[in-house]
Amino acid sequence: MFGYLVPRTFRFCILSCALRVWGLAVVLAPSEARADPTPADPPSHTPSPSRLQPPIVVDERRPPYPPEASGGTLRGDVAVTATVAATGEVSGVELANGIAPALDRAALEAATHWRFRPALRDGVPIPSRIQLLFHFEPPAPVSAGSAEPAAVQPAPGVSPPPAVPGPVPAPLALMPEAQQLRPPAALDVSVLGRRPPVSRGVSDFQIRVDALAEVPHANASDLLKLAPGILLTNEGGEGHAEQVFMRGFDAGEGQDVEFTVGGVPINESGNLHGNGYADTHFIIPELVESLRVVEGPFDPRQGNYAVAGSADYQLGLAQRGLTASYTTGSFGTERVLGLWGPPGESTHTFAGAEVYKTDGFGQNRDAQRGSAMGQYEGRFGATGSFRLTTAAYTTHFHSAGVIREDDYASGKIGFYDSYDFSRFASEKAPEGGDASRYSIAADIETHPGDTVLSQQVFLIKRDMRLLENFTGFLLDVQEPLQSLHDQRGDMLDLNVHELTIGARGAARLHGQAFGQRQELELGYFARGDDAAGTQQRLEASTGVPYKTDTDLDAQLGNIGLYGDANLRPFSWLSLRGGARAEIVTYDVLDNCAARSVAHPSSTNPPIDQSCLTQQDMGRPREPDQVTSTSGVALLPRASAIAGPFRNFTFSASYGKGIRSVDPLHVIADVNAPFSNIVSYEAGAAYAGTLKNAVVVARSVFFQTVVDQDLLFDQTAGRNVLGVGTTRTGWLGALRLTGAFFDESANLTLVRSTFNDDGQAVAYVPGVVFRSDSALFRSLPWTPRGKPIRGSLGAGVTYVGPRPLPYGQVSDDIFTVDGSASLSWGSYQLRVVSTNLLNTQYRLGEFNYASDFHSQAQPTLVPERTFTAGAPRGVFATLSISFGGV
Amino acid sequence: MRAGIILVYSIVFGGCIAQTGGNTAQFPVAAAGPAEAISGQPLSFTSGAWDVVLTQATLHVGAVYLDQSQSVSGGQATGCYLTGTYLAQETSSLDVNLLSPAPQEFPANALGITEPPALVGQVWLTGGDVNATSDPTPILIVAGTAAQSGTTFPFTGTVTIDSNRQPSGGGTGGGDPICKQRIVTPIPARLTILTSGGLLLRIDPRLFFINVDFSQLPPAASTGGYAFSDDPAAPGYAPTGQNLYADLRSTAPYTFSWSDAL
Repeated sequence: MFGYLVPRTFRFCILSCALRVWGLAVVLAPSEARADPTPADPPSHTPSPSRLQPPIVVDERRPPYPPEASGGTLRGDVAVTATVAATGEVSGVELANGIAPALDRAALEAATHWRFRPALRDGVPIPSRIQLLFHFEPPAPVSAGSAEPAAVQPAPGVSPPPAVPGPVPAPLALMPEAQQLRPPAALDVSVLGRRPPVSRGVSDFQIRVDALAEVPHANASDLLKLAPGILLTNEGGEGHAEQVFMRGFDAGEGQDVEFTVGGVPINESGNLHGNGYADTHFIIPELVESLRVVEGPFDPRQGNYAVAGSADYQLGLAQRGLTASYTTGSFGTERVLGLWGPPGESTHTFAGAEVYKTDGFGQNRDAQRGSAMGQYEGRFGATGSFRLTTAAYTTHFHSAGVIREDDYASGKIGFYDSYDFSRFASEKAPEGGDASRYSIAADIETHPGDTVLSQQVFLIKRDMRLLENFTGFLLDVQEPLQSLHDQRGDMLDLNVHELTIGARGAARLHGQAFGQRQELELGYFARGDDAAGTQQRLEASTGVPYKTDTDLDAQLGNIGLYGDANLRPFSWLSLRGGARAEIVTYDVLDNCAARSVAHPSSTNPPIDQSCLTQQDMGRPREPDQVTSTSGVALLPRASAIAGPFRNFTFSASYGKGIRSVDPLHVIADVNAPFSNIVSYEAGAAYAGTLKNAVVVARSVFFQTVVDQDLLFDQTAGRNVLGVGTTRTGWLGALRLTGAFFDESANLTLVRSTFNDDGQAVAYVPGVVFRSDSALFRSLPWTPRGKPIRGSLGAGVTYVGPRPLPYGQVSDDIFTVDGSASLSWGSYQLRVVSTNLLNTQYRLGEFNYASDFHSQAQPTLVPERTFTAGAPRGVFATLSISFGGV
Repeated sequence: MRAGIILVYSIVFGGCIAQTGGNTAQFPVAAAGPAEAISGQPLSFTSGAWDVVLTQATLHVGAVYLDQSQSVSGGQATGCYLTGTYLAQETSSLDVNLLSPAPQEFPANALGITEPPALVGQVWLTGGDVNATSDPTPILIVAGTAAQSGTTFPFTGTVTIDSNRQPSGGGTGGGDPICKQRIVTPIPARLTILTSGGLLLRIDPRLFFINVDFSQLPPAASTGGYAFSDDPAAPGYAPTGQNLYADLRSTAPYTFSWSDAL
């Protein structure tokens, strides 16, 4: 049942699906239970009395296309049989089916370096014989720019393979060694899986988490750092979405990045804190199998919010059986995690739940959260599959907010402290909030004839409350026609309630022309959002709202239609792209029908003049004025990918993207409901081998122009529409993967300037460097016959100085995270240290006017403020796995 | 590594970190009496038909601000805070000897930004919270003599901006809140803040006595002379106390300049 058209981009392309990584289900038929399951014969969910489980790849070696064979046209599969001992070691490597000496040697040599988690019979490790298929394809340039040496194309009628190739251990049977092998033609393997979108060039990062899971990543957002040019900050607390800086963009809390998880949108249309606000904390990071980050709007599948780019998380769980882990460490942090991957099912069938709590690394940073995710992947017909996915998440958290630099310098407040707003009877610091998200989604993919059809529906319920105060006591000034009052504080109390329903689907056809495979895809995306939001100002002394800034009910519609072609006029050239048409509609009810008092009483003046919904000094008003608008955008996108030279791929891309504006701007008579972006880039990639390591390197020059950018406004506590900006820059990325190590490093240099005066866009880092490193191998000890496996991980981040308003420049950031883990049998002990060097750094820096009553008179001039980065933390995790491999 | 990365960035973009415009500066702020005054000597001047000799003139300045806002017409209702970006702030207080031409520095440096240029200044005449209902701090203390046609009136005066200055109606119904009583604005201040030098505020006490008819001063029981009344409700407050208070709050006595000597 294997069959693949293989990528031509790189020198080699190995066959099929790496089971553990890409979650293709290997349904092994134990000789006692079931011999040859058909695709229509789904795996039994009932544990067999004598359950056999296949070996799982732990270490793998991918053979390069041998140089001595590269001059020819040799392609095909080399089958190698090997014995996997009960310890997981490989021996007895033999050629089962060769095609040419050079390719055969490469496959045999690679197979000796593979390591496995052994096959199990009723949970007991046993030796097994397996077959590895290595598919070789002469070098050619088609899928250049794919993040890894792959972008495997599926064969007609076959479930698509993963983006990254790797040999599949095709278990011949689980049987005592020395028994007869079954022929390769009778492999008991069926494949489910989805083909990832084809690469859009050098800035299309299809990232396997893989061994880099060893590198500390606090959450799913943190995994974004595996892509170049990413900086994450968070001034709102652990339940607040990360502020994402991507390739020169201050993308706010996701407003400029289209976030999806398995295709289900994360961006929240209609969120008052920012249209497109994207909180990824509901994603359990252990369930992230891979992510695709496209930096730029180059893929017609990218929709609203794909301004800086897009990020799609793919979920999966390689570990089968039950895994329970407990984490404890600094700052009173505790986390309990449970994962469940039913043996015999696809790695895309899983469930997981976590409960987490922390006291935080300084004042007012405590947080609690719980998250649960589940997914079932099953077969649909002969070659199709379906998935049902659920997710639930809830959190309550506090936030330390910002600190004025002069107050810290004068010793009035500590680096990790928080201003004491006092004031609520039961809580010292009110900043923080609550959030929850509940979603269900279902999708199906079928393969009738030469067409691949996919369809997905989703339903999302999202609620959020944020309490933030960036300016202290600055904005509540005494107005002439108000009753006397002191500054009551600028605490924002933002409440958002959203219900999202939507669908997406596509039909992909392929055929042959010019001797090459040609593809065309038509697809759509639709979502409707019913959002309600209020923003009030709270009196610091009581916590009682004294003013309503905003009270909106909004219904937003968004439908996109795209066509995407993948044309190959020559074997070394691919032309990919098409166009996307997008419509966004708004119906916004401003519940604050009146914002001023026409004739204030001279004897009984109001203290505030806000949101007068019902009456103006006795005169009734009707707060039911609806504002409607819509906009249509046509967005061409194209990439040319060429590979005329061995190992090298060159690409150039162009694309237009959009970001819909806040409903708040709609009631303020903003005509165009879109901000538009045009992006260009050109780059080159190298994929090859260096000794025994696979090397993928890339270099990209890019420019992006935005007509209305989002700029931080401390009075609103979020990014608001500003003037046009341009980003010009370069990024380089390197991934080096070997038998015992995995290294990913990237560097982004970018200059972001305003179009009108050429001055720098504040807060955006010009330099971002990130390195993720992992070392892993079996140690020379085998207590009770089980090997001990050790791993080390390190993450290094450097963020250069960021321009701040009024000529200020922020500090740079340099942090190192590290981890070490030991695995033995079903047990794993992992120790993680974040900010290993205990650097005291400012994660977010600003420069604006604020007044926290720290001086005798109001502080009205812009002053540096910051949010503190976390000091060193040490966390230990003990994990135990049961009943799976 | 950091230096190397920054070097690469500088090479690629031909310079260091891009600028957002302007700069932040910390600078001294000083206040002084008129340049014509002579240190250690009384200040003699003519105000209308009166020959005045000031032997004491002390003003408590609670804070000083510069703003980029355009001045607004007096008939337009405004709040106590200006609408534009504040460009400079001196939040420490100083009792200024207005008889001395020498700059007297505020105890703490001010904070400011160099762009855009300032247009408007504010002098806060407060001893504490500008919105506080009660503030007994003596804002202005004056003493001296005024002579006309051979008649001399020794006088003293102390001005506070306490609850006594609260407009009738408590600042409601179109009235001004107390903070507006304590803030002198808009004082023309067309200047650019530089990274060297400092801000000089000159306050001319002679202009506090415009239209003051010293002959109408109520007698001061304790000194035997005359005293400006500080109580708007008192019978002798108008017109002398009223005019002194009005002159104190007018922008004319206050002049901002940038001084390289600070």
